[in-house]
Amino acid sequence: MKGWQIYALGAHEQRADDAAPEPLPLRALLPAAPRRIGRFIQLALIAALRCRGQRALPPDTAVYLCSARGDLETTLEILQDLFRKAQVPKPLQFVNTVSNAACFHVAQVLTLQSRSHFTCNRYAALESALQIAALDLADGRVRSALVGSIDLATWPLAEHRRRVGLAPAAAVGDAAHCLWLGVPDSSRPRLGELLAAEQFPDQAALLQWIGAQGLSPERCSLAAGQFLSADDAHMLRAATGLHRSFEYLTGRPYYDSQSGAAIGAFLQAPGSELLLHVQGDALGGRSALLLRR
Amino acid sequence: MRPCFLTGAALHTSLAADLADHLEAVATLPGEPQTVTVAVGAELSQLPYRLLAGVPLDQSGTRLHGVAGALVERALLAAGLDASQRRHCGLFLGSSSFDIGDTEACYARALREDPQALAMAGSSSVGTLADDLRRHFGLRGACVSFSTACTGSANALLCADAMVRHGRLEHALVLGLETFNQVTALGFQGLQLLGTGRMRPFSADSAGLLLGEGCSAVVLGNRPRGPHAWRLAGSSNHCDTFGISTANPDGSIVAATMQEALAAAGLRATDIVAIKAHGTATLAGDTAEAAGMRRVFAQAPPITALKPFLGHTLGACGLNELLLYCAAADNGFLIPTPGIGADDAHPGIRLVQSAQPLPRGHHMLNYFGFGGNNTSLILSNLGTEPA
Repeated sequence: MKGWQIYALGAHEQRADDAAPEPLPLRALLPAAPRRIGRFIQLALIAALRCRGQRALPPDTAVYLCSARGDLETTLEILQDLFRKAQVPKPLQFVNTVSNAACFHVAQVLTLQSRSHFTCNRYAALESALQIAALDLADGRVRSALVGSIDLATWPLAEHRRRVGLAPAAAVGDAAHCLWLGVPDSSRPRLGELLAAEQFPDQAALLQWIGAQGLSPERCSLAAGQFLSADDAHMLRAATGLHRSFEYLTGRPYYDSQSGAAIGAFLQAPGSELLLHVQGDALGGRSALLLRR
Repeated sequence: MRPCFLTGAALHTSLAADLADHLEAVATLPGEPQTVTVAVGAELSQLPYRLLAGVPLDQSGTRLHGVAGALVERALLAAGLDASQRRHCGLFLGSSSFDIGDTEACYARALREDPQALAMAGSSSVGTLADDLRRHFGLRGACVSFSTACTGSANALLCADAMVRHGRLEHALVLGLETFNQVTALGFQGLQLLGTGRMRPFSADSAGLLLGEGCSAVVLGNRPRGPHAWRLAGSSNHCDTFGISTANPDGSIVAATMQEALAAAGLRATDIVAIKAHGTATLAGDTAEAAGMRRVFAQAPPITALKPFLGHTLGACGLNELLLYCAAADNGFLIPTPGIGADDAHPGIRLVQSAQPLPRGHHMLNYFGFGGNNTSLILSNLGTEPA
């Protein structure tokens, strides 16, 4: 199996405090940060800058960002201002509701000029963004790509929990994850490989695909995503024989694209050679990421 | 690599609710737009808008799902998908506002009952609209929504095409959906980009853009339906970091986007039989686009712009304008805009002024949006299999 190299990872994950949002640590990474950007774009920049680190990204690196909910903070602000305070959207506030403003700022700060997409999927935002990036790499349209997810908590947190369907005391957080993917390049050290990013209509289709990958329990761990029920995860282990569990969710605050945390946790600590991460959705669909360290 | 063709399609805009009826509608330029009154407190704003034909605005809260559902059904039927094929069909949706109009209506109603009502209580995910449609139509293939402003549905199309060509899907449903909402209308008013009356791109008296509602659906599949089925011969997408709401006026990135699309299709500029311009009728937008076209085309082929007919349908304009363009091309003509884009306001760039025959060939369709997202599509109807 041949995949796309993962050259770097960057992330920000912070449990949200009910009292008020903590300032995001963007200025430490970027003293001359763009002005008048909200927390959504700041999160995108933090993850991308941590991913790049001190490396030189090729200027034709594409940017694929994703989210389940987009810039919820700005959208809520505009709606509440409009309908409760009778205030029309401010120009820059309105422009920043367009999700790909985050792609623009990441590309501008990192001086990239290439392909750029902002995509959304309720349950598998990062998986679908990785799939799109992988297809563009396969097509030869791009040779290097930043793929990132952005998840924003909003205040008051009690309302945020109600809005996203969480229990009143559930831990929630802000998070952004970013991977640098690319074609094989022996001059660059790599962290691992993305072997596959796929979406399936149901568990049966997923199982058929897994069967074709030749994954052995000795080499491959299985991680169940946050939206895969315990019963479905159990059935998956039984059907595939992949009994080595990779656990990464315990103790983590809720945010939508926790699969980003799985990638980082797997590649940055010793363990099995391969990781199969499976996510579920409300329609019985499945998405899968297959990684090799 | 597998072939990928545009099969069943459906379109509903301010001109008509059926794709076929659009061809009669473009025989003449539309009249003045409607006016939507938006009350913000005691202030009333009168905003010109091209509203969907035959769907009253007072059905806000249900009209988006109603229109989208009807379009999806027509497109799936036209593509001839059976239940099993529908189950494995992917959904790729491009929009700027998604279901924010429904969200506004729900919130306004909730606030009448409870001044402390929670905004976006029922739906806070951008993916909700796509999931609603998947649930209703039994579509369980890959699902992605594109939020890249005016290039949204164009990008949805090029990614769906990649999925089908790479064998990830046998069929993909691509949607462009844009309906009226107060946030968007007032947002554009605040940016002072709105004009009055009909849009006049590439004209000396161009006075800004006119927003429009427009929704469209197309099914991509491996098997062509007809000897001259349309296919995406090449495409490109490029981020211009010059400015978040304006492209580089020198046209360099616009040109690079077009050149990359040509290269992806293995074509030269002289191979293009016609261009569908983005044509936003803003000075900055038209200037950059015209400059870009001049860099790429020593002699530009015939150029059409469709926003004078539809208004700017934002994230849905990619697919809306593509389907309208292709429908006219299937009937052998390029849609003219008499009296618009003819006064050399942008030297070397003129829009076609009268209906002219359009040969089969390679067609370039361009889209440039907020956030510097630029997309160029090369569509072919030559009826040959791709290499």
